[in-house]
Amino acid sequence: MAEDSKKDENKKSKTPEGSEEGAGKVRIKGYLNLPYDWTFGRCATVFFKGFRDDKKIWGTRCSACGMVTVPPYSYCGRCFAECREWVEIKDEGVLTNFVVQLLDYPGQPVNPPFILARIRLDGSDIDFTHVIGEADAKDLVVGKTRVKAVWREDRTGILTDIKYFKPIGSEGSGGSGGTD
Amino acid sequence: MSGSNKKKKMNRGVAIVSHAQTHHGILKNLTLGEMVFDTVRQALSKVGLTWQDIDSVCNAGVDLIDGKSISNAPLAGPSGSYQKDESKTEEDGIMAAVNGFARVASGSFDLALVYAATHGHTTDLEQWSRLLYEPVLLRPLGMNETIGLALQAADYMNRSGADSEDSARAVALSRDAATKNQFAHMRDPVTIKEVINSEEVCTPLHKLDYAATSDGAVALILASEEKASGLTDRPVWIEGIGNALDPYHIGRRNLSGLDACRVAMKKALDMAGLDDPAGQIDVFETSAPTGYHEMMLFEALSLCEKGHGPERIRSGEIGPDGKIKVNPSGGMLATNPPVTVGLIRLLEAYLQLSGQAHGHQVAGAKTALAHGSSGACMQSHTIMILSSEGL
Repeated sequence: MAEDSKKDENKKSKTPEGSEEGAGKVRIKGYLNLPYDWTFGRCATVFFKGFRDDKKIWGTRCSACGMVTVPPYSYCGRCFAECREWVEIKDEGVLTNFVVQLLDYPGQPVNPPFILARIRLDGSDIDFTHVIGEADAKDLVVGKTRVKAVWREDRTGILTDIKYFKPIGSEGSGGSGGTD
Repeated sequence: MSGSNKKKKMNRGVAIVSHAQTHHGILKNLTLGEMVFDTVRQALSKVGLTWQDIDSVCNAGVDLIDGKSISNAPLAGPSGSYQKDESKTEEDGIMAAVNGFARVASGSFDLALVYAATHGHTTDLEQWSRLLYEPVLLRPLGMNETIGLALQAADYMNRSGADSEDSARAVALSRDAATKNQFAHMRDPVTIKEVINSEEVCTPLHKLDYAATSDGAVALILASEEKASGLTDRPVWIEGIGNALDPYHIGRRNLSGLDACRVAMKKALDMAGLDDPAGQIDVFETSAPTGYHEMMLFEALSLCEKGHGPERIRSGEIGPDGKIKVNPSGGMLATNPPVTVGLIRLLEAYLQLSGQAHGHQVAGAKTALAHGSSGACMQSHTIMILSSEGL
């Protein structure tokens, strides 16, 4: 009899008191800090050599649709065709879209707030994304404001060799964003 | 359903027969595994299935949000996937349903479990979303998802004349609708003024213009036509699927036109044999990350002409309570666990057609559409069209 009741006692489920009340309060911090080594490949290598050595912007033309893309790719994002013909693009063009970035997080080229824009560079069929400097957002007019690259002296062959694009006047007509 | 479009023939019918979801919000009291376990168990028990009855499991997740490589691996146990056909898609949750559909439609599997679960609060999404962009050609500019969405919104304003009040109105309407959805995250209404006066994060976006991040899990069970009728008297049939991808490089895109969405929509309509979405589909659940995107999607889904989004949101003709019902659940603007969000849209479409949407039920709904999107600036779009009657 005594043994039986002892068995029953053992069968009873035991819950550590208050165990679930702390759920959500007990956490641990984790971080990912993985190094990466991105290659520029055959296309961006040429593109950024132009930045570093000559302050020149090069695009590539699609062998199928004929569109000139900058920054250039070795292949067309739409046609699955080669883009091996190099086309020199001017380092100025028309502002086609912009935003004022106010959020603060790591990895930004300058401290916010700054203006990030899409620019239809002369000679290109698509919009190039970059920062606008020496400008007040309220003075910028999409489709009218012309901007020109301000190059760094200490260029190393990366995207930020162009410090920013600055307004240089306006024109009567221009792109409207997108490619269609 | 009358229309000139002829329905595409399917190998065999596939129906959604059961569902479950968390009360979405910030769910720090549960692990991802616990959320999946609770949700999957509930979905199975509703139709009297055990985990052994399921022969294929399809899920979605993003490793860098989950903070685990091959992030479906830890969920094998709580999803009941032990020694089963199991696969994950590293895209929006609705793609898991497309994979589940394909498996059942093929005839190789009869019952598929589809699930997605995200702890959106776990990491810093402003930093995570920098990784959506090409590391050499765009990332050095500090691009992230908020900036991308802002560029789309600014482009849409230029093109359509939408203003900040239009976006705020879309948000206010969604948040208002969410008060009737007990599973929604943001269940407190906001006014247009509150949205416009909220902190500016990246012009033209204010903090309240876009969907707050949520945690949440959903599970759906897909069955072949042979199995469906034995499990429920309210099966909801998957009649149309369309998926399309825009170029990765945002320079090659019509940013606010969402061209891939138009193409995906056409494919889904063709498969379902429909050609007049506004007239033939009773409910739409879309993945609009901001009020501006809500309007862009009206246009991309052919619910109105290009550039007419702002006018339709002002008149109330398209919206949660409009003549054309979009996001009666409150949509993504009220509930946004990244990745899982698109599968919630499908679950909501299912609820409407099986008469289980309770407070936000659209009376008499027979056909519904769910939309999901993945990638930087909504690079890919997936549409699923459901019917309670079979088209």
